[in-house]
Amino acid sequence: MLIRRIEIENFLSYYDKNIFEFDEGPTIIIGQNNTGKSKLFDAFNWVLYNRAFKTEEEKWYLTRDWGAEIINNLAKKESTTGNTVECSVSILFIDEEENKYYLTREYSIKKIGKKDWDVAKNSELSLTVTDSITNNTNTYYDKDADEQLYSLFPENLSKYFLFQGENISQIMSLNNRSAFNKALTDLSRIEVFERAQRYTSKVLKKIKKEFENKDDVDKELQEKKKRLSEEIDKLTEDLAIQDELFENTCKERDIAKAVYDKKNEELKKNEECAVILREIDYLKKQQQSKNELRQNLLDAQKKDIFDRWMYAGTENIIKGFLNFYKKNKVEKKIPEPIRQEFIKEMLEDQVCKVCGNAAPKGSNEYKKIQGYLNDKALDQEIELINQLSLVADTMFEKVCSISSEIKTFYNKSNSIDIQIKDLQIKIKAKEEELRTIIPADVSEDEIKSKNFAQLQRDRDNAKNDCDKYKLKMEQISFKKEYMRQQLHEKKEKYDSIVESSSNIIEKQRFVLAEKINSSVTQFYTVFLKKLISDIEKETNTYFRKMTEKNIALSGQVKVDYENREVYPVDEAENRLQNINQANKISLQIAFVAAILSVSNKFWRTYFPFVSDAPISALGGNNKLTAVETMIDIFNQSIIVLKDDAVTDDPDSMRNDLIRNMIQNNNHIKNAYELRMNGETLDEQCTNIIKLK
Amino acid sequence: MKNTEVKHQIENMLQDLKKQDKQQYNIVLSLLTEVFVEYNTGKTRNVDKKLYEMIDAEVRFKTQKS
Repeated sequence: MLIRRIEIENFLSYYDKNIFEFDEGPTIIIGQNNTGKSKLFDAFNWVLYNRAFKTEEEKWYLTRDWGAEIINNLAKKESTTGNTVECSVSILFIDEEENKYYLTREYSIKKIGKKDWDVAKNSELSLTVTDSITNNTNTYYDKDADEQLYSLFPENLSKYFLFQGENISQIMSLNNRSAFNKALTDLSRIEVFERAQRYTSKVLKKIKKEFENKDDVDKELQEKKKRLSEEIDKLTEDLAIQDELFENTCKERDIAKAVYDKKNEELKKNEECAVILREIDYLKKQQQSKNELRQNLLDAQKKDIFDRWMYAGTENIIKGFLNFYKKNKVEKKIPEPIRQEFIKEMLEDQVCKVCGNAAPKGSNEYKKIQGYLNDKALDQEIELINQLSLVADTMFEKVCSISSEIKTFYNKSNSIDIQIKDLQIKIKAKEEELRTIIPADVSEDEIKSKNFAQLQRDRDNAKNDCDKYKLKMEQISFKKEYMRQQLHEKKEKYDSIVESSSNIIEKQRFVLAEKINSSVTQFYTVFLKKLISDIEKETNTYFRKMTEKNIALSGQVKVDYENREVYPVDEAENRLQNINQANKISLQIAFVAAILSVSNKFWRTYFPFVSDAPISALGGNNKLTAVETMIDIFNQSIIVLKDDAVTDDPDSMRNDLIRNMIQNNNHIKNAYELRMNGETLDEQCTNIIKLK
Repeated sequence: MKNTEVKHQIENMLQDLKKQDKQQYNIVLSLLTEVFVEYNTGKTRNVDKKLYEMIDAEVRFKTQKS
């Protein structure tokens, strides 16, 4: 099946007539929140199945429950009392033999007051089929059109080819046994073979009864036949009881497993929260200690710095004083200090040791030197000047160092400030991380007060329940195997009796019915085995593609038919535990896509894959690869994606990546962007921009 | 899904049976085709009754022949 076009008129956010054209291969439609993406997905659902999804209630509603709400607000606003407003969605599609189908659903309401509408109970459906060879057309209406649609787009398969990615619970439910069975049964049409098997065993039972009820000439043989038949019937009945018991135990195990998963999830969540809270506490303590450090630094430096600040500006005055002193010293206006011992030494040696001239006793030089003797006042004066000079030097040095010390203080203080800011960012990030795990209305104190021991006990009890059911299942399997062997032996004996029967027609009928029953059973077993193997192969291919950038994942995916589960295993075939949510969803998508693809190839019927936000729940790394994989898998895919151009979240798929993909991927022939026009709620309508 | 296509697929799957036992092959092919049509249209087709009749007719034909 290939959808060529969808026409949407006055339906939900679509005002007037809007057309999307599609080709074989992928079509990508992007739009930000509230631009009509999901309404487009609703349009497909409405035209095919008369339903649209109410996001706020997370439920599908039929047209009669939607009433006037299903019609575009602007179209309603523009209508006048007494007039009728109509909405319609049409799709044009072709089947594998090129026959054309034009399907239209319409709904109308009549304005009877300002805000009152006379609403029709049901929508009207019409389907026009054009034969590709004869070009003859046939139009079917309502129930007849629905009947025709049943074989083209069976509703039970709709959730797989009309894939609603945002409804995560629907995807995740594939984890349980019944959903696994349903997906496999629905998509692979294996039910055809199961049904055939049911019919052959029913007919065999009837024929067997006829054979047994017709008395054989040989009385002993007849007696044996009857007894063995009763034993076989009893064993078959017991085996069926055991089968049922096994199935029920499986269901109970599934329930216990769901409880265990929930308890385990709850415990993990709380443990995760507790770790984050401990980290937050630690970071807050660090922040507090840094605050104290900064305060201490300020306190320690404050007095010193303030004291020094008082001298700020005196630098030049002191510098002037020093220059004045040095200048006078150079000009020898300040006499050099001469020690008394040195004068005595010069008089004794009769030589002036300042200028080097001889100063014999009695000479003028000698007298001049003698003049300095005992001149302590001069000595002290010079000493004082020198001391003043030294003080001035020290003062200058210290005043000069004021700026560098302030700088050191500033640097230290600034570094602490940076550390505090960094800690604040970390605390905020941790608090946000915490809120992704727990709802905003749960306080931190509530988490801190959780009784972990109790949570652990609950989880362990649930695990014990699971193990109990697992053990019970093993016991039943063992019992079943034993009964099967017994049944086999009895059947062999019975077959030898059948051989000896003289009732030819009944006997041959029974033999043929048994052969057919066995062929169909064998055929079913072989088909199922091949199906599971093909599905496993394709699931692996798709899962690997989707998670190729995830280095944490390695190994294979196991499609475990016995336990009706799909899970990743490591190289030693051990089940991998604790894979993250994004990978779990990738696995579910890969599994559904694999069944759909294997089934499509086998039955040569190709459903278009129409998907609304298929990757919204995936992590950043898996997003683009998931889209690319979907593009590769399906003959036709119509993928609606959220455009997070304005989102800062690094985990969101970046807008430019998807736009680059649209431009550069040659398989993508059509791409649209949706925008919302209109200021008020009752004027808003989707605007379609063709990107490619 | 077109019935002709389905029949073609089922025929492919039953190739081995066709070589082994033509009598069984004919019945299983008709049975699976009937079941498929019933599954595809959602309308009951009394398949069990038809199967019984096919087996009975086959046996009677064979018995008469011998």
